[in-house]
Amino acid sequence: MWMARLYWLAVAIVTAVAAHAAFALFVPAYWFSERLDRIAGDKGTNSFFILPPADQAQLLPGLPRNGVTGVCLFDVSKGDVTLSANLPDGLWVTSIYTDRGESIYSVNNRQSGSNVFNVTLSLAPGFIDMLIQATDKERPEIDSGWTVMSPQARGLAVVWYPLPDAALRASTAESIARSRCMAGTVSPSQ
Amino acid sequence: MRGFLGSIGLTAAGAAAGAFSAYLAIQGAGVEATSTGSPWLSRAAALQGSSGFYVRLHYLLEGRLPPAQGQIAEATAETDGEGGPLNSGCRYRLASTGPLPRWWSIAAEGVGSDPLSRQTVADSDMVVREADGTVRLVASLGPQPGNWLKLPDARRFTLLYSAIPASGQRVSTAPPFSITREGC
Repeated sequence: MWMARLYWLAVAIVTAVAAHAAFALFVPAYWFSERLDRIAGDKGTNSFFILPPADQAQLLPGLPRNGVTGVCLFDVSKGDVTLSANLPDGLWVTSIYTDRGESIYSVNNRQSGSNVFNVTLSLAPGFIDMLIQATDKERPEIDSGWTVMSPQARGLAVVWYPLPDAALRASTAESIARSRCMAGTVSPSQ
Repeated sequence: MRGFLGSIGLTAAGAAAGAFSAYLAIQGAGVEATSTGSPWLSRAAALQGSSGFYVRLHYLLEGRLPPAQGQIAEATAETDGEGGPLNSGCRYRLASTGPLPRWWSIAAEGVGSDPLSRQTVADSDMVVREADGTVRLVASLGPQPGNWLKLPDARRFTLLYSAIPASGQRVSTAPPFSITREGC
């Protein structure tokens, strides 16, 4: 009898640990992924668009709302994706996150040295891929900008441009919207 | 039969307790004062610490992105330097207490107000510095001479600080601003 009770108690403790891990590993990521899908709406993945103020306030509540945020929800599961940024003069920050909220790359206008640049996003090779690549041909060099390897297939690139006055939002958004996000890599001449 | 149901119930309770403890760990992860005695609180600082995993999950569960590490600093304040809650019926002096980052911003927004309600913002591009390079702001409902941060109509309000450091400057989550209540 005591053995049976002890057994079920052990089962309950193991179940609690498993439930704790499962909740932590899957629920926030699923919730956030759903949120990103809602934000993307009919624009889908691999396209660059300016966030409406409501989505901007939700996604980046710690930053002042007098600003413009452009995003690209990328999916590199089927191949590379390129963010071609074409930003106005002034302070900006471009950050790249996985859909698990991991910040994998960030650059500001001074670090970039240019308001026009390309970031090629690739799926980081898994352990098996790395073993195969070691004996297979190397991945071609991409020299049209930076290359960022994402450990997750999905994520988002965020361009944030603070503004001193909300009245400047429309014109600045129009300027930032010249940026592009597309499947494939961009050759140096493009 | 009763023993079997009891065992199933115990297992279910274990699953519920595990999920609930994860929820509590995520919600409570990492809110801390940016320095001892400071009214500024930041979750971002804990991203680097031992509870960083849960802190990141907290951001995801709120449907928001964590600040880009090494690039943007964020902090909030709901009390003044004496620990009193920020109240728009009072007047506050915000004074820089150290080197300022390349760009910074302090926004005021009402507690519990519509997330889209207008924020009032003072940032490094619009303030006028003192002769010694320091910055002084007065936060109040009514206009003030000098740098003025208009407070929202909501009685309780929060200050949001964000900053981008200069090249080579360490990203400090501790805002270099004191918050002093001057009168109500």
